[in-house]
Amino acid sequence: MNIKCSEFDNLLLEGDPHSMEIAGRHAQSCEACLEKLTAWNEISDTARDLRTTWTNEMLWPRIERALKQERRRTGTRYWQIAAALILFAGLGALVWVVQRQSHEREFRNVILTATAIDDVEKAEQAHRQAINRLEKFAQPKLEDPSTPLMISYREKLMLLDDAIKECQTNIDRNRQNAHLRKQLMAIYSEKQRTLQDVLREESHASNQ
Amino acid sequence: MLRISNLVAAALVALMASYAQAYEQSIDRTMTFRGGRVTIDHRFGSVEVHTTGGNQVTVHAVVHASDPDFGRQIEVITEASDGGVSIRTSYPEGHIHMRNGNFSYSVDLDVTIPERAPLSLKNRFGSVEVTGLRTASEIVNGQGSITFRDGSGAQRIENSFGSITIDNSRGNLSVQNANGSVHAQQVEGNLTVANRFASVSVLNVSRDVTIRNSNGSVELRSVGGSANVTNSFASVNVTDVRGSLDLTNQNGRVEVRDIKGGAIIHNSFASTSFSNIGRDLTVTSQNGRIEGTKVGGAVSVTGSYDTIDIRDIGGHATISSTNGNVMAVDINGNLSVDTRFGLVKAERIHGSLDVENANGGVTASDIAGSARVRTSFASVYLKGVNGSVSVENQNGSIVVSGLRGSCDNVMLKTSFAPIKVALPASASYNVEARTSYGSISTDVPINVSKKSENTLAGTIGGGVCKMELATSNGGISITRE
Repeated sequence: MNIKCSEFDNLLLEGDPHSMEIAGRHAQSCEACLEKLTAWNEISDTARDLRTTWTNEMLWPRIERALKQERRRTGTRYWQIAAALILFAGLGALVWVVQRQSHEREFRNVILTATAIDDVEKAEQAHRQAINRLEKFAQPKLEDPSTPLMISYREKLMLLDDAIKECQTNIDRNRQNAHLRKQLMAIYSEKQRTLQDVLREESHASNQ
Repeated sequence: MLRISNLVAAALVALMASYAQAYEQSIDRTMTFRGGRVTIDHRFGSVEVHTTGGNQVTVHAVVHASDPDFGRQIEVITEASDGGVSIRTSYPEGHIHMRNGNFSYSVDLDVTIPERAPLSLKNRFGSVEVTGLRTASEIVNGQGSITFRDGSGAQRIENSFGSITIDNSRGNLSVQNANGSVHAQQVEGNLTVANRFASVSVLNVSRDVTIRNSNGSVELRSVGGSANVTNSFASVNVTDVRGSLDLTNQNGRVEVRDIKGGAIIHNSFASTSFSNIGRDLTVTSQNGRIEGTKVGGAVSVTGSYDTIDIRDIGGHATISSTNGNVMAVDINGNLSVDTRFGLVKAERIHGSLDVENANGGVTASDIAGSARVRTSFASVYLKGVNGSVSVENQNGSIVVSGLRGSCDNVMLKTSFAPIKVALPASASYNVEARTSYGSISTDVPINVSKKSENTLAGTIGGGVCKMELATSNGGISITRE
């Protein structure tokens, strides 16, 4: 392969064996390039002599330590990720539980649980017993009302009895419906209060 | 870590299992309102109605049931036609009997309707809440509360066994309830309330208010027009009415204040009080105390068996009572009192005084006009009368002093009791005094024309006016002030 002198420098800079062989061949026919090649080789030899090596006893243990720490750190990171995932899952579960519980509470506000129904029915029974007792005392006065107020009380009690009947009919078909139960309790309370008022009127001289 | 995870998972599974027993299902529908009405017919659950500017009717229903099979059979039936939109809940009736009612159910409705769509809503056994209606509607509920807010147009609201709450309604409003309280505030229009056996409270109504209630208290405040209230067996409290007030109650305390127009109040068997009435006032109350101050016009009060006490009256005052004391102070016109068995006390009467009493004393002072008193079996004390004085008594003394007029006739008659008259220095009377079984004494110079043991006739001063003093079985005393 023939080259020009202008390409000679590039071959030297390339420095690989093939480039150097071509450069050598060209230098045999070109004195200036031979001189340049000789100087280049000398510089290269000198530079090679300048290279040195040394041994450090601390280096490898430090590298090993660093590598171990790196491995440990990687392990810790995995644990951290796992812990974060568990925490996240736990929080998610907690939110879900709270939401569900609140949802369930809301549901129980509409449809009572069996335990709540037992308590409600006990309270209703207590009301009914109290009402029966009061009615026994108030009945004579109500059967033959002597004042407009008594007539009014009798009318109110009839109205309340109708409402109780209506509530009970619907409770028979919708036993755990919270609204029906609350309504019935409210009417029972009202009836109890009204009967107490009737008896109070009976106890003091009325001008009506 | 694993152990904790297992516990959490187990708890979650347990919770899910417990929750899975209940049935809850949402149903959503959207329809276009093309005219007519929006009709909602519902039972067993709450109904909430909101409004929107568009033409869409949206229904969001939540079905709750203790039994999933039953819950799945509950239907929310919606129909849209030119006649309107109808929304109805349907429960599987046959299933109920089959399962003997060992489960329960409820449906909550949340409905959004166009604000200009008339609404006809019926519910039973659940609350009703309606907000933002802009046209005439009808809301009927039974056994549940009703709340109506920010509406306009004529509204009819009916309930039984549940409260009714109305806040901010523009248009005439008719409210009917039985055994549930009614509370209405900020109503721009006429308001009519009919209720029984529960309280009614109304605040800020721009026009007329009519309330019919019984066995429940009534409280009415700030009415732009007139007010008409009927109640029985519970209290009535009315404040700040720009028009007139017509109030009838029985067996319940009545309190009325700040009425710009006139007022008519009927009550019985409980106290009645009033203050600051702009025009004429008529009060009729049996067996209850009547008291009040500051009336711009005339006052007519009829009572019995309890005290009547009126003060600061702008016009004439007429009081009729039996078996009750009467007190009248600062009456700007004439005062007329007709009573029995009670004490009459009158002070600062700017007109004349006329008292017809029996078995009750009369005490009056500072009378700008004449004084005429009839009574028996009790004393009469008159002080500071500016006009003529006429007293007819039986079995009771008469004491008259502080006669302010230079010359007005004085006629005092009684029996079985003395008569005492104190005259001013300027007195000018033609005196005729007679008694039986009593003496006649005087420290006023009298030009005597006739005198015996039981009679005295003569003149005091110029003798211009007539003074007749007559008693039997009692002395007569004429003194100087």
